[in-house]
Amino acid sequence: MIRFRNVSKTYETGSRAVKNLCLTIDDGEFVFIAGKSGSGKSTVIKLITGELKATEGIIEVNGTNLLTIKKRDIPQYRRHLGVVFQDFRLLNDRNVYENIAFAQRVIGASNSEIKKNVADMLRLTGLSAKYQNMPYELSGGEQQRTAIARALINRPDIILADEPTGNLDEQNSEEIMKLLYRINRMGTTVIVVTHSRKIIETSGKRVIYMDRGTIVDDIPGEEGHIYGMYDPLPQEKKRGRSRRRPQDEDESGGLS
Amino acid sequence: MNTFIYCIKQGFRNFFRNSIFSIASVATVSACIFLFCMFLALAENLQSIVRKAETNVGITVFFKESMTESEKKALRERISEREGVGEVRYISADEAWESFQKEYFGDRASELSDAFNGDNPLADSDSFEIFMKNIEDQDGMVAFLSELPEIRDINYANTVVNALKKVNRGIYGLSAIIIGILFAVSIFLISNTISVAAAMRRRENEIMRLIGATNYMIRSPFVVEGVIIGTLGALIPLAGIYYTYKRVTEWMLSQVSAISSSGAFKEIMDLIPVSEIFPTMLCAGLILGVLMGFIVSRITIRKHLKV
Repeated sequence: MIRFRNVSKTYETGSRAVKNLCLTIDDGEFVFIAGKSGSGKSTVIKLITGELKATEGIIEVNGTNLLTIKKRDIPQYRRHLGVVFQDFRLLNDRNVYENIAFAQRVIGASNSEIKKNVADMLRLTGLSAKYQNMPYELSGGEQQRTAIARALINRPDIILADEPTGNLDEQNSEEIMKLLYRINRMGTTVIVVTHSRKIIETSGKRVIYMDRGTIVDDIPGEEGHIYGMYDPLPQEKKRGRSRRRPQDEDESGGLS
Repeated sequence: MNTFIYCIKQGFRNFFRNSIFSIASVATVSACIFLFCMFLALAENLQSIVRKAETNVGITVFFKESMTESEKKALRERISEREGVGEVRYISADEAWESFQKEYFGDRASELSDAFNGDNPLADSDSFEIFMKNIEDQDGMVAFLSELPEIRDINYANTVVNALKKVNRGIYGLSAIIIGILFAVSIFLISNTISVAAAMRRRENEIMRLIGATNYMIRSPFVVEGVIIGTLGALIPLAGIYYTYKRVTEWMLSQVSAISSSGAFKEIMDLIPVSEIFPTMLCAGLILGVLMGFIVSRITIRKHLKV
């Protein structure tokens, strides 16, 4: 479970990236964080990964308080997270297999474990036939699937995807989202930062809207919603999705 | 263990990926360690020469002609009782003549002896040879001897020893300056190489950091790279020095033999054999290279990689 309680992040320049943020994401949830550029979406991801430290408030991720976590414990904490970026961030001098295996090597897995786990990930992401290809030989969608496989191979509790479809065409975006839904159905919490209305509207998943560093809307997902990305969401269902204002959560003290 | 092997592999990979900078760094470290070892050899040899000179060069004291044997004996006792005196050796006039012939005429000494018809031109040149425990006390001893009325003349080779000491000090000073400059250049180049490697691997390091790599895992390949530079930078010049030093000692030996047949001179001027001096140079050079690579890369990478 991820909990933000009155979290603010102010940079040294004085600019405030997030203000008084209150948020709870349960285990196994699929959440979109949406908003315009500069609304604080990516800052939320960076606060969860521990790349940034909140200037105020409390952040708890699966029981770990990120304000009090010791520097030396951060690597161990990050092993429970998988991060996917818009620009894939693959290692261009290594093939697909080595890119995926890299995450396992970093945590000191044995060669036999690496072999087995990489094969599993290649199957899951549909890249078995491309394992020897270099990143520049792959399409954007395949590169992103490689990045997802790398994020997933250490079996993280949470996947954080920062604009994972930002550099992809429609078809590849759909494939990536399907893969992320599938990963979520396997029990992994998935948080996707996006500003694609199309993806959000057709997903039926919880959406947190941000603007100028605060949550302006928090729309819960639909129970059992398994629409494909471009499956039209029935209008009556869309209307029926009740909006949960962020302050409701704050008032209820649900973060304690 | 897997992590350790991975770090070593990545260190080698960095070294070769960054080859131009790596070669430049190795070359500078090599130059630095080569000069360091050369100066070390020079200083060690000069010190050895000074030590040999100290033990071989004494104060020679000649007596007034009127002195009797018992007076000479009493004088010997007085001198021996002085603090700092190692040995007082009596050299008779015959011994002095024999030694002179050997030193200056070598194999033809017997012909010379015949020419003098058994006369000793050094009669009345019997003397004491006084060896001090510490060469520094020689001047004090000379001052004491010159005040004794029984003594006609005093010879001592403080000029040679002092000159050697001055040269030794000069070489130490000069080598310290040159090695200091070279060290600074080496440190700068290793640091630069590691910085370039860190910049080249920025993306990889970012990914490693987010995947949960420890500081050790992220930094170790760069430290390994630094140690490789330091080790190669030490081994290459050490191999060169072994060969060069061996050649120089052989050459010196032949030159000294050609110049003089005097045993004492040869003994003093003999260089320390390579088998004796090389283990010191090997240890000093390797420790220096490895430590330099290790420390500089560690400091540089701490500065460049915020983990």
